[in-house]
Amino acid sequence: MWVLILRRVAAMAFSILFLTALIFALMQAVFGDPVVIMLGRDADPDTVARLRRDLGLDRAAHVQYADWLGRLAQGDWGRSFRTGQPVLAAIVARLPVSLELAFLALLLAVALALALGIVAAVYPRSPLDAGISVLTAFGTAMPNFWIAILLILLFALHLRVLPSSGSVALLDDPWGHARAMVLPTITLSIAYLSNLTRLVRTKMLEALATDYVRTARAKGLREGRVLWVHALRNSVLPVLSILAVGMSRLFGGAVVTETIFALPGVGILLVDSILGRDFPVVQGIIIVVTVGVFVTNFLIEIAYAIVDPRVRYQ
Amino acid sequence: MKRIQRPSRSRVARRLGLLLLAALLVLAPAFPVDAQGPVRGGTLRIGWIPAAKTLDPHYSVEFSERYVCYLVFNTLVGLDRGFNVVPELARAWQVSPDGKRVTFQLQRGVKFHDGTDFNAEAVKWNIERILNPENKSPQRAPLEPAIAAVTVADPHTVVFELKKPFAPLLAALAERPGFVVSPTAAKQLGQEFGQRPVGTGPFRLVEWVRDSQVTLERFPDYWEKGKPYLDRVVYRVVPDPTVRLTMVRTGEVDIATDVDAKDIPGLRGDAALVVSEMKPAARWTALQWRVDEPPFNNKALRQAIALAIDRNELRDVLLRGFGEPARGPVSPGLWWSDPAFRGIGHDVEAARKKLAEAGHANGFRAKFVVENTPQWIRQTELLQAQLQKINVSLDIEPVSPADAYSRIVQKKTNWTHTRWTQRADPNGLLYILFHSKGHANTTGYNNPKVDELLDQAAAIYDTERRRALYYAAERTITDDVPYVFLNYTAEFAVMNRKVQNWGWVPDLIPRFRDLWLEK
Repeated sequence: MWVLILRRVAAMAFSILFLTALIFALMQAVFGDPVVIMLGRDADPDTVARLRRDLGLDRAAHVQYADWLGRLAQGDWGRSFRTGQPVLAAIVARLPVSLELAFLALLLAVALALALGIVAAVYPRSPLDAGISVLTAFGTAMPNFWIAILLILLFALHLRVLPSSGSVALLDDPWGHARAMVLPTITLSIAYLSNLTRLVRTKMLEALATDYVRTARAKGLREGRVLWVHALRNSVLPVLSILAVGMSRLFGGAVVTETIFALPGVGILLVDSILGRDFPVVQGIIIVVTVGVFVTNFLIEIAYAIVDPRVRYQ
Repeated sequence: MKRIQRPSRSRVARRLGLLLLAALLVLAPAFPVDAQGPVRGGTLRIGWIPAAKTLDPHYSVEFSERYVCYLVFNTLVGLDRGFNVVPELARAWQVSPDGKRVTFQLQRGVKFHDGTDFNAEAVKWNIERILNPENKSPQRAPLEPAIAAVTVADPHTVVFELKKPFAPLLAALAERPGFVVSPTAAKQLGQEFGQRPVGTGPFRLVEWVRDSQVTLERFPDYWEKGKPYLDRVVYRVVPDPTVRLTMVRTGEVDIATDVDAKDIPGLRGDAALVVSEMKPAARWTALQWRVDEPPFNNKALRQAIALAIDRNELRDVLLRGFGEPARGPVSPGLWWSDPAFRGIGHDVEAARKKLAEAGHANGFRAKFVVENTPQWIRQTELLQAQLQKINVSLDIEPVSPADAYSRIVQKKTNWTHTRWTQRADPNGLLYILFHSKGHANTTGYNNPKVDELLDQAAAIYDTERRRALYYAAERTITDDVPYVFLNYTAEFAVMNRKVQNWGWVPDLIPRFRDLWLEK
């Protein structure tokens, strides 16, 4: 077990190194100058030159990267070019919002996907199944932001039951917080939910057509037991894989959702940092997201081992 | 929205009706049923644009930040809605006969939010902070050419010694360089000051949750007795303009500025809302190019392109009929606007002749850089169609909006579009753009006559004489076409009826501090 963890950590460290170097090179090649963006149109060339010197941006790219890496090794993540905030503190302040949003969206997506997928598989080619197919096709095809705006117009403007945007701290006003999270959660979960539903349906149909299910039915087991204990458990494995991929994506920051609903999460920070050419923050977020992806993948691997008795790790 | 072919007469009538309605909506609050004075109390909720990075005014670059700075801080002098300089922290000032010394008498009994005193020392500290090159303040450029030293005559009198007579100084001190921050807090907090600003303003900061909201509360020891009227002000970040407007309609916020022209007609039916249009608009859009190198170092070519552009069409399509065609770099309604100036008109025949004169009788083709957003792409497509008529073709190159300005500065971009907002002094914009030494002169424009006019005008304190010089400068600049001026754009604010005492200042930064809410 420990060897496994150690191997994963080593792989993670290597990934971080590789990714940050790659992104850094890309940013240097593609991006414009952060200093002019920081100082705006009014600054004189002398001020611009000074700031560039102070931030070390007049040095060669590999020198800048090595310097950043050296300081990171000592625990100094640097300061944001744009706000002057310490990078790690800035990211950590945003994490709860993004994590909560991702978690809630995932929960909703999985719960609904299982429910709808199973129903569709149990009544295949019925009107219900057709309806679910149409809905999932719609959910996959429609863009996130369009669905978000529609939801806002319906629930906030016309029905006046939910807020249009913004976040409320959980501890200040739990009910307000819950209300503020409803629309963003729905928006973020829809595409994921649609894909997952289709997958669950397919895998359930496959499982329900297998020999062992036929045997179970022939033995006279109740249909409910057949479904839950036998069919579902075996169709869940590929779903777990998709779950891992989905969680990583959600974790990276639901940029569009956060922007439309003005939720101060990691996604908005990442976009703003990229647009503001804020290298330290971008690098910092890459590290955090990489760690998150590795951790969630690892948890999924454990889940695999629990669910599937055939799977054992060295 | 369905497009129906209408004959032009009803189109004119419809537009007149819209204008009339807009005028009525703007004027309506001026005729209340029972005229009340200011009402105390309440929380004003503002739909705020994003991108605020720091609330330290000496380092502020983003527009959104100044929405908050004008409530947390005071400036040494202020601006009224006519763009005139009025007393604020300085209650009076005198200019010496040689124009090289300005003496300010300061308000008494003013305190910063941290309890420390505002006095002449504080003013001196602030100006020196900006002027110190080590501090790398972007506000150094407007002040450095003018100020030699700041001295304290007594605790309530501060003297600015100038390198030369400099009339634009006062207007500069009404803007970002003039904000007065608490020296004690700035020294104590260092880099954190931008997060936890401390000023003398009518409101003090309660909390700032980045990308979410800013909360301000009334400062009880504010020096202007009786103000402010509101108890609290909350700025809620709402990045999407449609959602911002929706929130005014649902009542989740009380006021939103930065509203798209396309959303305005849709608000016609809503009796609970007031739409305020900034008239005349103080922002202009333009095209710019490098005039010191080929191909655009050819004046006839530049004039040809300027003549070929139909500004009315741009206004009708892009601005939904709001705003007006631009004549030059001076928006209408300012003390240095020349009502008799016509600028370069729209004349396709003359354009063709100019093009031939320029040596491009067989047509002309060049790269045009555009910011990659739907609005600017749309403008470029319209320009492309218009210029095709005189056989000028554009090779469109989209760039990221974030990089657009720095590319211009680094000379990676030649021909592109731009926009600027007026400053309170003509020198504020005309110098930095069109003087050969202007630090925002990205066209390489160098006309000694213009330099002389601008230098002269900056050194005279008499408005009448300055005006004549700026009239002449505007004519020469427009004729030389370093920029092709397109439109003066429209700006809107939408608020619910309870919000009172709203008015635009021509720098287009909303001043929320004197508003009150009806019960």
